[in-house]
Amino acid sequence: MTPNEKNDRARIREKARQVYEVAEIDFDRLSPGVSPLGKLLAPFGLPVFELPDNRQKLTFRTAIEFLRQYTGTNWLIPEGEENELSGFLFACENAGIYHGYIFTESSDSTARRRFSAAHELGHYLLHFLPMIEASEAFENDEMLIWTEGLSQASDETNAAAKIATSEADSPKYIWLNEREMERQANQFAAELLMPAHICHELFEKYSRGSRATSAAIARQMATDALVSFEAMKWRLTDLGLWAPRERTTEGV
Amino acid sequence: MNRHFFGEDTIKRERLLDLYVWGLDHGDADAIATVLDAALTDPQLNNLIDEINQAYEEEERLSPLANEAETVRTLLRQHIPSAFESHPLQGPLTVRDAAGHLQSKSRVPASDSEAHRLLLNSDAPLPTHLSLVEIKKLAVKLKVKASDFYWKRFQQSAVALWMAQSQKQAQLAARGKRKSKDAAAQKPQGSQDSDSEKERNKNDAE
Repeated sequence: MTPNEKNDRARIREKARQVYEVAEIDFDRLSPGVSPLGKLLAPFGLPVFELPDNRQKLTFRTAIEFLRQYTGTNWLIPEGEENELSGFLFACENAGIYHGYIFTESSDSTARRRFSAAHELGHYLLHFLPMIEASEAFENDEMLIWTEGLSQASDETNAAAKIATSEADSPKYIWLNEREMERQANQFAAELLMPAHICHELFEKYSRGSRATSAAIARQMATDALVSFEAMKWRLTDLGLWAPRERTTEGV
Repeated sequence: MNRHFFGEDTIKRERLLDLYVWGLDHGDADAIATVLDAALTDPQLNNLIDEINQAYEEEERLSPLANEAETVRTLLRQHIPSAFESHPLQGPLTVRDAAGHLQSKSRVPASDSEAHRLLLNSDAPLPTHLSLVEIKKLAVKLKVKASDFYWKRFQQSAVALWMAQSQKQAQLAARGKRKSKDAAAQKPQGSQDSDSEKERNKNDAE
């Protein structure tokens, strides 16, 4: 890991910790269990939505069509945006005030929806707000709109982020560095839902004197934290706790 | 102050009427024809134009192709107030606005109906930061108790109103800036720019 990557991870970890602080939850004294995502989101002007028609899949188009109807405002829909999404962020800034919506796919599991919501909160804090702060390039009387979609196909790539200004009636969308932002948002969601010290504590507890495989432990920990097995596996690997071959052998 | 929401058709109609007035103002038969063409397939627009023309006739001294556009604007304001830039979605958003929006978009649970009724009668401004935390603080201040489910819906509605208001403000600001640019460009170039203004009005209407 390069020093830059280390710094980046430390910055993201600190951001997750700040979210706990803002929500008045003591991060260091967290008990193992389900992260209180509702409480963590409460200090932000970011209500979470699911499309009301559960026959409809979440895409850029369906989310913005819904927002058109819900806000009574004619938001533009970027063309060709039919990829099915797990999460979607629509955030706006106007005159120094910012609010938005997080959408999650209603047919996803609760664990997946929690991760998607945390991932979109990550984009909001790590990318949208800093962009606002550094937005000298945009004139003050313009409204900034940020949209980001977390693709169903892959958690790590394929997601598109766009910003637009509302000058005139036809905002121009600007494509941003998606891959890097996706990695950071995933990292943030992991820090929020699976804090490192909790993971270490639980892993130690489940592996002490046990012949359980890493997979079995990860499954148990995923249940405890209400995240998907895949997310927990990724997190344990990230923390250097996942040793599948060794443990599989031991388990057999 | 009452607040209203307008559908796309209404907004399009308003823009066409604005273009109609612009056409009258500048004696531009093409602009007027554009609107009249649209009215052929839009009975509601047709009725509104009839009302305006009727009003002209009642005011004998007015001629539709003269310079009395300001008077026509006054009449339009009476008929279709939202056709003008003094859009009703201005001023601070209130608790009543958010409760009204909530009611128009989803069913209010019976257990929250009393709280909802109180909120519908409240002129208190919404907090600047529309987080659930701030909304619940406001609820304490207003001494209104409702379920978490209700407050989440209320927050969703409040954010929707803010977004609509923000977009409207941004569009008005952009339009104002455009007009200033046009006016600045108009000085040296003379009459050429009235065409660009007309073009913009047409684009807005379309």
